[in-house]
Amino acid sequence: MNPFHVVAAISLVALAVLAVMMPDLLLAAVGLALASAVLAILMFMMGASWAAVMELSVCAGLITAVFVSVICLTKPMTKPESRAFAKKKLAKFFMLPLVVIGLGLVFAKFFDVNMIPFDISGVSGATNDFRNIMWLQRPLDIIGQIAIILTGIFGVVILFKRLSDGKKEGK
Amino acid sequence: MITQGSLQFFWYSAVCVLLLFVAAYYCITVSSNLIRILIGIEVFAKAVTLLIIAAGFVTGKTALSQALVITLILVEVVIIAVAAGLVIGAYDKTGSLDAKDLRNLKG
Repeated sequence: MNPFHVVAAISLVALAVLAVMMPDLLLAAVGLALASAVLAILMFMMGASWAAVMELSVCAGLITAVFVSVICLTKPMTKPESRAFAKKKLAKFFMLPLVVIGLGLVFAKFFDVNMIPFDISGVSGATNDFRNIMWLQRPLDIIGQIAIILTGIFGVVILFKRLSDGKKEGK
Repeated sequence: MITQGSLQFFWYSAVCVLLLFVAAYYCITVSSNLIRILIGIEVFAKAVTLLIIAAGFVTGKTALSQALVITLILVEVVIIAVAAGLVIGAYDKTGSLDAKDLRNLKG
């Protein structure tokens, strides 16, 4: 294993845990953005450059902007309130990752790796070109993506229209 | 071509994915803050993205894994955008970001 892969993987897990455990929501959103950036680096190292660019621009950029705008438009708990909440509730579950890893190690002893069929058929031809796969072999995915984007756009427009109508009535 | 080294790399990636799943599950179930629940959903999506890319890297089918991941990223951003709108709407109605305060329909 490449040492850079190891460092990137450890950084990814650490940043994701930081995003989850941080009492301040804004810092948690920043931690999530950094985790997305590290994941994009990891994906680039594994040869998935197109997906890495999408991850960096959309997840580390657009989704972080959405989170920051939601945090700014709402009033989350204050720092003392969030710290008290963290001490009270989150501390109970700190053993959970160790339990899961322990179960995983026990499972790995009895699990035979050769049982998994790794030969994934369905990609015909000698090309491993991303554009060929995306446009020619998975056209339904493109149609689905367009439908989902349009659904999201209309959903957000309708939601914010109701919010602005509600505020106008309140005035 | 799957070798012993690439299989080992996949299992190490699977451990990272598992830790991300645990962190996301922990975030969603323990916290009742709506924004933290969205962060947990995001971490789940990161874990699945890493798993798909690692599987594509190990089997040599990176193009197919990239196509699937791009679809996943698009769906993820739409979910987060719509969920953010719902969170803002819920905050405007109830004045709170706590999921336990959304009890208007409780019988």
